[in-house]
Amino acid sequence: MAGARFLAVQLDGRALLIDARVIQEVIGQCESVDVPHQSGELDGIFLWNGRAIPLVSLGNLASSGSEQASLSSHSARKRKRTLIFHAAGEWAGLAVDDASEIVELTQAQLLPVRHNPGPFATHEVDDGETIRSVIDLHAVVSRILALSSQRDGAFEQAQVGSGGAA
Amino acid sequence: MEPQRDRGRSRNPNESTYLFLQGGRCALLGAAVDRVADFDSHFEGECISLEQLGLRSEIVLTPVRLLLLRDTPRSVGLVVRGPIEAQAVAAEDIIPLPPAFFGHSAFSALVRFQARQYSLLLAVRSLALREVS
Repeated sequence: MAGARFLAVQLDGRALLIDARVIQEVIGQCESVDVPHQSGELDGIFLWNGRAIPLVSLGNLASSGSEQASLSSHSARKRKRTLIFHAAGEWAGLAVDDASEIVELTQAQLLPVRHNPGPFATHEVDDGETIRSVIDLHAVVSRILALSSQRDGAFEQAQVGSGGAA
Repeated sequence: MEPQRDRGRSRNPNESTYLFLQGGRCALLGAAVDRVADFDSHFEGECISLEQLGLRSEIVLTPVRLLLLRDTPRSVGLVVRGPIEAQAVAAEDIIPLPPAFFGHSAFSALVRFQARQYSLLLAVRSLALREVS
C-alpha cells in the first residue's frame, strides 16, 4: 500500500512535515506587503499568479491559544522559501527556512505527538536522528478563518449598533 | 482649499484616479472623497486617522488634512498627514484581498502604482462603519 507524501521543511530550527497534496508550489523568498491585522495571524500579503495571497504566521497563531509559541513569525521576509498551498478552501502562503525533500511515509510511521506539541501538530515522525512534526495546514487556515469570522461578527454588531448598513 | 472636481475621474475608461497617502503606503479611490479640507479639530463628524488603522508613520508628516468621504451614512473625515498624490490606475492594477481573510478589514485590495510597488486600498465602506475608539 502506497504511503502518504509529505514535504519536509525547516522553520525556526524545527523539522516539519506538510501534506504534499495541499502544496501547489514552492517559490523563493517572497516580498510581502504588511497589512495591519488585529490578531497578527498573518505576516502580510503577497502576489502569486496575479492574486493576493495571505502569508500565514504559525508563530502568532500558536501564541493566540494557551500554548507558548515555539515558531517565531518575526522574520517571514528573511526566509528563503515560500510554500503556496490550498487548504480549507483558500490559497495561502507559508514562509519557511528551507524545503528539502518529499518523503513518503506509511501510517505506521506517523506517531502520536509527544515531543513537540503544538496546536497544529497532528503526528510526529522519528527517523532515529530527527523528530519531525506533521503540521495540518487545513487546521491553520481554519483557525485564521474562525478568528476572522469572530471579527466579522463583532463588526456586524457594531454596524447594527450604528444604525444601519451602507 | 479649492474643491477638486476632477478627482476620481480619468480620461481612460479603464482607469480611475486614486489618492496615494502616507508616501504610498495606502490609497483611496478619488471618487470616494467629497472634498479635501485643512484639518479642523472642530469637525463634527467622525474622524478616523491612518494611525488608528495601524498605518503608523515613523516620521512626522505635514500638513494635516481631512478627506471628507462621500456617500457615507454619517459624516466621516479621514485624517491624513503629509502629501496626497493623485494618480490614474488601471482596473487590472487593483488586486482584491481574499474576502475570507479580509472581509471587514479596513483594506480591500492592493493597488499597483509603480512597476513593483503596492499600496493598500482603504475600504471606504468599512471605514464608514468602523467603530472609533
